[in-house]
Amino acid sequence: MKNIDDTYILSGLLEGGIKRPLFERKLYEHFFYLIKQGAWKYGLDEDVCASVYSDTVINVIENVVTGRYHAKSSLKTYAYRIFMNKCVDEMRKNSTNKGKVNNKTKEIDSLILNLPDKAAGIVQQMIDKSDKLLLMQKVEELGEKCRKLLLLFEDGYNDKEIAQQMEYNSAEVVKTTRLRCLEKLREKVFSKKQND
Amino acid sequence: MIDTIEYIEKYFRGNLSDEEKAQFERKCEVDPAFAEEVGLYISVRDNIRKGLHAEKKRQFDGMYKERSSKNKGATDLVKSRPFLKNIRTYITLTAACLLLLLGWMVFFTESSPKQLASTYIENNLQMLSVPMDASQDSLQLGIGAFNQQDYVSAEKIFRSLANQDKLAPEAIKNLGILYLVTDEYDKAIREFEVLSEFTNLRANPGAFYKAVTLMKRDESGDAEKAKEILEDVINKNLPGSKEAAKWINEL
Repeated sequence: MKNIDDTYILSGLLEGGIKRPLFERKLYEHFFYLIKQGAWKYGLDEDVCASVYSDTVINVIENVVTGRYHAKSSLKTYAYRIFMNKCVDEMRKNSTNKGKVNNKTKEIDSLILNLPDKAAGIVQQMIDKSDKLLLMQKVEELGEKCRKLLLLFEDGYNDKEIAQQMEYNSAEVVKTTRLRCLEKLREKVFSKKQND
Repeated sequence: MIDTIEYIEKYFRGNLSDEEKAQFERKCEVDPAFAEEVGLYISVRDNIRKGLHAEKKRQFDGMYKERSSKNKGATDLVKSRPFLKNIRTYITLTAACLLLLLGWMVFFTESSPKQLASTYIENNLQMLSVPMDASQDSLQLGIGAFNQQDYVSAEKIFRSLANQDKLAPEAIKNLGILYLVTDEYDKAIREFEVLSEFTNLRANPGAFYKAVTLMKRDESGDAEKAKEILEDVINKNLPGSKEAAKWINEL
């Protein structure tokens, strides 16, 4: 059996392509024992810990793929800390007002953090005014192909990899199709707003 | 309109030059229609990312259920075979003995300043707590990012708050801690020095944290400097004085 270590998992995740889901599953299995540790250490229900662990693995994958994991600590230490912090958040959820931090952390991945304060404030006002339910509904209406393409893009796959997976002729076609999908969505949202 | 979407996408993928970036950011501030386009783009991407996370979570939760049912089968097997149960008992006892031995070694072995600092950081600074006045959303956001080890976002948030009068001390303290846990000791020391200069705080841990950083950095002369600071912390009964009193003889 192949010895699974950090390098093996990291290179598999970074290599991308059709093999990436396999390495995501390997990562999930690799630190699976944390679920029991979390349940024991924080007195949480094991099913709750499993859900927290899933969130942890999703976080780790995202940080590895987007280059936010700099390998300053081992993958084990990295995953362990995120998991334990999430367990503490889970414990706080229903106990004190400190649990409020949990609601906020859900938004920390938002792209808006890339904008400087003043611009972010103005754009945030626009987002606050927008109809989130309408947007969700319009994303659903986009069609399977557009949705899959946008999901793969959001998952960190580059246009070339998406072209291979979805059998497009080239990366350039993927890019154009993606922009058209976003344009279609934009039109759906704005035309609904104008009709209202 | 595709051009606008492409332009927005280029910004968020980091494909614009510094000048183009600044232009983009100015446009968000002065052109409401453009700000609305950017808002929609962000909302769409956030929405799709949530969908993606939900999808992955479903897959992982499925794996958990599958593994749990297998483990249940294995536990049932152990219950039905006392020999396996005995093996587990022996392993547990051996592990306990090893732990005792390890504990003894740790207790009777002198700790270096670096070890003391590492242990302190591991136990106290890997997770930030929310201040009693939890009304500051941005600060909470930064703390949330820190606790999820998203240090890039946390740094951005704390850095922007460090210029605001009311939140500056807490933001600077958190920035210093962030640099300390990410091994950027020089930056951490600078932040803690700035923090120490706030004289109107009820409790200021700046000096103590600076000493911890010096101990952790462990360059020539750092231990001596840390010792001087810790003595000062003890004499003035500053935050961290209890730890300082424990450590002072080992430096």
